[in-house]
Formats: sequence, structure tokens, C-alpha cells
Amino acid sequence: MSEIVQDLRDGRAIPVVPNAFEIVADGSVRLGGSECQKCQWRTFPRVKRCLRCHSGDVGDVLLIPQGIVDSFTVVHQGPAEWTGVVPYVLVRVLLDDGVLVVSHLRECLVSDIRIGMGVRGALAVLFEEGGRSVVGPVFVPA
Amino acid sequence: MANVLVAGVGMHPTGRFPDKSYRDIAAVAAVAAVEDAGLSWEQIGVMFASHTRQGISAGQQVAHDLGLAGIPVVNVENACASGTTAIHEAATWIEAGRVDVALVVGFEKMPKGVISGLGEAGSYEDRMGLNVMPSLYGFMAQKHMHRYGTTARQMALVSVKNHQNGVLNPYAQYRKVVTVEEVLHSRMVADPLTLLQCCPTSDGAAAVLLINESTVSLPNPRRAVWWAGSAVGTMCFDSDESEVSRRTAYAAYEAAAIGPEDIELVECHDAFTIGEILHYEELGLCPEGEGGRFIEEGHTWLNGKVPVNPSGGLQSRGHPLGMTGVAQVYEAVVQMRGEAGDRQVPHWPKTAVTHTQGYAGVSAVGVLHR
Ligand SMILES: [Zn+2]
Repeated sequence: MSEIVQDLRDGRAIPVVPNAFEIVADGSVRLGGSECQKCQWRTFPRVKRCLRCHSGDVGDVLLIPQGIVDSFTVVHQGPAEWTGVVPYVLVRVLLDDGVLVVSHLRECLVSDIRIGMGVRGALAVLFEEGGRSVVGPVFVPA
Repeated sequence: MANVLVAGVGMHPTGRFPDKSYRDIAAVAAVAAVEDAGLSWEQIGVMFASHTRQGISAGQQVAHDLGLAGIPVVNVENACASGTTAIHEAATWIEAGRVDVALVVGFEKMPKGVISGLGEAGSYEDRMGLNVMPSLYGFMAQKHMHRYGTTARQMALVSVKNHQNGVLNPYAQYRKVVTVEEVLHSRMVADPLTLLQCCPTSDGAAAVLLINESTVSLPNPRRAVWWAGSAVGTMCFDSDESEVSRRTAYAAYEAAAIGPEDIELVECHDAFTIGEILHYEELGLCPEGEGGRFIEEGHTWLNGKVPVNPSGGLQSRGHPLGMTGVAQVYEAVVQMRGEAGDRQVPHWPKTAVTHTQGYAGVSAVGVLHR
């Protein structure tokens, strides 16, 4: 993971989308989410308005990517641009603070994936693009 | 409020037709529906066109080819629920007294491969490879298996049943029987869903002609069927696809003054096998969590107590997105008339339900009655 962080700093790798994740002081990853300033509803990825109370007063929040697997699937036939990358595992994770996040699961045998298992966030190279690695926030077994 | 009848239905076969345009196949279905009703083209007051990817004003192009000049034409895009939505909207025009006769034409020509590229290009979901239709259903399947003990075999039975029905439907795309083993051993698409548990992408068209019962006289009124009630819904905050289908279904039942116990035939959105199992529960055919057992016990087969997808469903008839909701009504009507040939269910149903569900949490449900 520290190698990926170095590649991001040196421009050999780029984030999959802007603001999806941040690396905090201790080197661990946070997800770039939103929090409604009126009703405190949190979500990921970022939104411009609160989907619960309709408030436009929404601020950025860094979410701790730690939670349990709510469901999963192994994608064997994905979008055309993922043809060389399949199969990949997708998980829907219920974070400890109640936010549902969908991302990839890495470092886990398919036969070992269980609904309810604990996972934590990490960074991983998703694919290569224009000579650079594209890095996104993923989950790994806790 | 005026009562709405489905007076005519028509279809173009579903499949791959590289030599035909969407206009060609849509026109075939439209002509069949108008001729089936025995009405004249001059009586049509509005045309609704249901399609998702055929381009700007595709409905007007079809209307042009049919010689339907001068009338309002409305294009409807509601993902996989477009067809049901278009009929729902057309019915409201008649109920409101705006027109006496409405033509609904659903059509689509689709590229091969999984439906992806949904949502906003460049978004997190898009760039992460999350927006691929089978994976959304893969999540639903894993969750249902975990929570209720639903088995891969029960899901495979949906494909087996619907392919068996499709063999008997001359308009179906895949008219071939498949076994449980073949379904389970076909190529994996999104675990646990194998290829034979995913509907194909297809070309096809269907049409229905709706009329105001009190102002339009039909040459053969006994063949008409009531459009008794319908509803269109979108997912609530913090809910899921099951919630929207259930809520929309019960809104349609209320509009039609029926309960789930009255339903004798269903055409539902079996885009993926787990979908049909979930829809048994959402439509109130069986208690929550018992969908897998419901098909295993035979209740939804052609000779069961509530036949589901006698047409072959999306799995076998095929799923040209804009066509599907309209083709479901075609099937319900021919079954209710007793005109379904080899796939006719034993007792001509008195009450039938059609249900579609699509990307971004949209659902639409219609109730037919005779
Ligand atoms: Zn709020």
C-alpha cells in the first residue's frame, strides 16, 4: 500500500475519480463522503444535496472504511473496458457508521467470502490507463 | 373516470434482425394491434412510443411510417419499465377524456453483451466498474440465499420453467428447453447468476390499442380486456428494489380493487432468475423469503395455481427494453381470451398482473381483468 501511495505522489498512479479517498497522517485510507449539516445523514460517494431532508447544506466528511459485507458478487462479464480485468469481486459493505459502500474486495479467496464478514479499506490498482496505474479505494478482509 | 379496455394486441417476433430497422419491427406490431382490434386508423387519438436507446423522436418516425399524421406522439423512457409506463400513461389520457383511442408501441434494437454504462460517465460507479446490471442482481441473489436459504437450483428452475414456456411461444427468441444442470453449468456472469439465468439482449416490438369503453364500439367486444388499474413507482429513500416493486404493485392492486389472492396469471420482470423469485414475494403471491420454495412446489408453472411468465418471460421471449412491458400485456390478453395456443393456461385467467422493474429503482405494474 505504501508503494501505491508513493506512486500517487510521484504521478505514476492517479486516483480513479477525484475526492473518492484520502490518505491520512498515519497512512491509512479514508473515503470521501458527504454529511448533511442539517440532519447529519452521511453517504458515499459525495452528493450535492441531502437525499434524506433535501437540504443543500452538505459538507465533506472522511469516512472510516470499516464494516461488514452486506452482499457480494463475482463479476465474470463486466463492462467492455473491464474485459481484461474480470473476474473481480464486488462487495456492498455496511460501514460501522451506517453508510453503504460498494467497491471491490481484494486479498480474499472467493470461497472464503461470507455475508457478515468484517472488512476494512485499502487502496489498490484497478487497471492501467495511459501508462499510469488507476488507483481506487477497495476492501480487504479485516 | 372512463373505463379503459385493451381492444387489440400485436407483436413482432423477438430475436436478432440485422436487416430490419426499429421502424420496420415497430410498424409490424402496431399494424397487428390495430387489425386485432378491428378499428380504423382514423380513430387513434394519441400514440405512445416506448423505447430507451432508439434516439430522438423515434416514436414520431414510427408514427410517420404508419401514416399516423397530426396526432400527438409521446416518447416514454423508463428503463426496463418503459413499456408498462407507456401503457399506464396512455390509459390516463383515456381516463381523463382527452382521447378515445390510444396506440402504445414498444420497440427496441439492442447491441450484444451485458447492459453497462448505466449512470453518469466518469462517476465513481462508472469508473469502478460497478454499474453492470447482472452484478446488481448478483447482490440480491447472494443476500436472498444468505437470509432465506434460497438455493442455486431454485433459481435455475426459473430459467427451466420460462424456457419451457418459451418453446411454445412463436414470438420467443430462445425456443429451446434447458435443464437445471445446463443452467447451473453455463458460463458464470455474476456469481451466482450463470448465463442461462440472464435474459438476452434482443430486437423486438409489441403494441396494444387502448380504448374508452363507453365511447368506442368494437366489432368483437368479447375479446377486449379491462385495463383495471396501474401504477408507476420509484425507490424511496434508503429502500431497495423490492420495496419499490411491492409498493407499486399494491398501488396498482388498489386502483384495480383487487388483492394478490385474485391474481391468476403474472408476467413479471425475470431479467435475472433471482428477480422472478423476489417478484413472487413482492407481488404478494407468497410470503417473504418463500419465493424459492414457491417455484420448487410448482405453483408458477404453466399448470400451476398462478402461472408466471407463460410467454417465456424475459429469459426466453427476450428483453428488448422498450418492448417488454407491452409484450407482457400482449401475453396476458391472449391468455385471458383463450387464444394462447399450445401455451394456453388451463383456466382462462380472469385477473392478470404485469410487472416491470428497471435501473435506478423504477417499477411499473398493470392489472388486467375480464
Ligand atoms: Zn439532511
